[in-house]
Amino acid sequence: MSAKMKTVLKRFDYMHCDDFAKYLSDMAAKGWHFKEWGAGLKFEQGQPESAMYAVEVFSKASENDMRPEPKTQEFAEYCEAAGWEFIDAKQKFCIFKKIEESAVEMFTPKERVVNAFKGMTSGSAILSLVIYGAYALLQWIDTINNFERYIFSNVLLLPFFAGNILFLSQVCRFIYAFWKKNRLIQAIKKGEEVYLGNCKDSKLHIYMQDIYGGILIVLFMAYMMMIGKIEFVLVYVIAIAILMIFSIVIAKMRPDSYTNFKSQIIFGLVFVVTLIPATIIISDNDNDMLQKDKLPLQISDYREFNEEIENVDIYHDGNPLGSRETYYILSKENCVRYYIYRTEHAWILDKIWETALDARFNEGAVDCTTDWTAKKAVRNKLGTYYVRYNNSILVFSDDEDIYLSSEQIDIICEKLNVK
Amino acid sequence: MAREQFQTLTEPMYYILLALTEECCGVDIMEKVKTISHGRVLVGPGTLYAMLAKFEENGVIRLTASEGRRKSYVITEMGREMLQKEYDRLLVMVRDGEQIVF
Repeated sequence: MSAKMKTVLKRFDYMHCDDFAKYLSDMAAKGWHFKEWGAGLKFEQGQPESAMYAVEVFSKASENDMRPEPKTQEFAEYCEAAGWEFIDAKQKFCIFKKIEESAVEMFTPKERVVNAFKGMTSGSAILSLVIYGAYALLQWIDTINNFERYIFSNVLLLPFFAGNILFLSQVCRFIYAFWKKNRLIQAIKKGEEVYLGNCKDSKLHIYMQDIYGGILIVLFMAYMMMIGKIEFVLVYVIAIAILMIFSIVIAKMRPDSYTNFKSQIIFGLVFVVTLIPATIIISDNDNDMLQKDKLPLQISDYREFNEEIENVDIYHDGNPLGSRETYYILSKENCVRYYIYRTEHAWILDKIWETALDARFNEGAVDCTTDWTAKKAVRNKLGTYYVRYNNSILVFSDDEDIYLSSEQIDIICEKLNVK
Repeated sequence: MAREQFQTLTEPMYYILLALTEECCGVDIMEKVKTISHGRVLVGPGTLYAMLAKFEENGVIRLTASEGRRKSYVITEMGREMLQKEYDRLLVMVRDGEQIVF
């Protein structure tokens, strides 16, 4: 009868390889012996054993190594000759079990610290830092340039937050690696014992990664609930599920380094090319002629209008910072657009106002503050009105290029509730 | 340059080069170093692996045979010069010590 197996999802950083080794030893003491990597750490049930495991960082391995590559196998042979049984390797981690009492430590303490540091700050880690940094920068540029669209849209803000969180977490990893390396080197100079990890005396740290992961999942679910639009939530949840399935398939198949690298590039391209259009297509577009009754302001409310309405687009975005409503009314010969930004935060309205009145697009605008009884109101040469109240901004445009009378203004303000 | 990098050899480096004055399989070097040093110097397999790669890269040793993953090395002329230089340096240190203290 084959022995019982179990898979545990657990991750350790290269700077915590002694925590990793301690975890494996603790599992062996309970009768679960580490066999190999798969989708997670695979353990085989057996007799409880007081086993000493060593987890070393082999800096010549690659982050794309899903199984022991030739250089790792060669290194493992040296270790086996020294009394260490090689169990398995993945990426830069190599796992050994001590089989001879007289087995020599594989590396000096300083070499272990340097190897762990190199693992944390490898070319792949630097590349990730650069990519995340570039992505975060693009998100900042996009958000600043389209501030009025992004600030109230949870959907558009998600990639902004995600980009910044990814970049900052990678920066924190680097800072931690530098700090930990310096601290450990100082300890070596003082003749102190070096322990690569945090939980020599407390097991809490082994579960910290699980806690961080749990917190991220809870935050993500809360954010999805805040978005509240099932189609967007589905797109993001499906995207994450696809990423996870791909990771699990790669982890189980354990392809060679080159195949793994190629697969990630191809998958990444296909994923991005598919996800971006999917996100764009699924938009809050109540483009349905039946929705015209949802318009708070009809054209006929403020002027004579006898045409047939051909198209109505309504967009709503809202979050704790405020809301943005967009309405397009299209007839055969006319188009009326009005946007309403509502928020309690003056700085947001200031920023939107600054963007709205960009001098490049509004040269020659005429002041009409008195007409609107507003904090500020202008009409540009194209006939678009920008009106600022205490807690709202109205942008109003009618292709008829009319000068609104005070009666028309009163009707518009009342219908849109902007004052 | 190799000569600058290995101007002063560490103890493990010195004993590894001593072991490779005769052709030797990589995995056997640890035992050979232990024997030469009468059990005093123990070179870890990871330390050895990294050092062999550095030595080979800098022309201090050369690969003589490769059967699968088992590789054999021997010291080169440049390696011998470095070893001799280190030996001479250590001798000078011992003599200086003998004059003053011992």
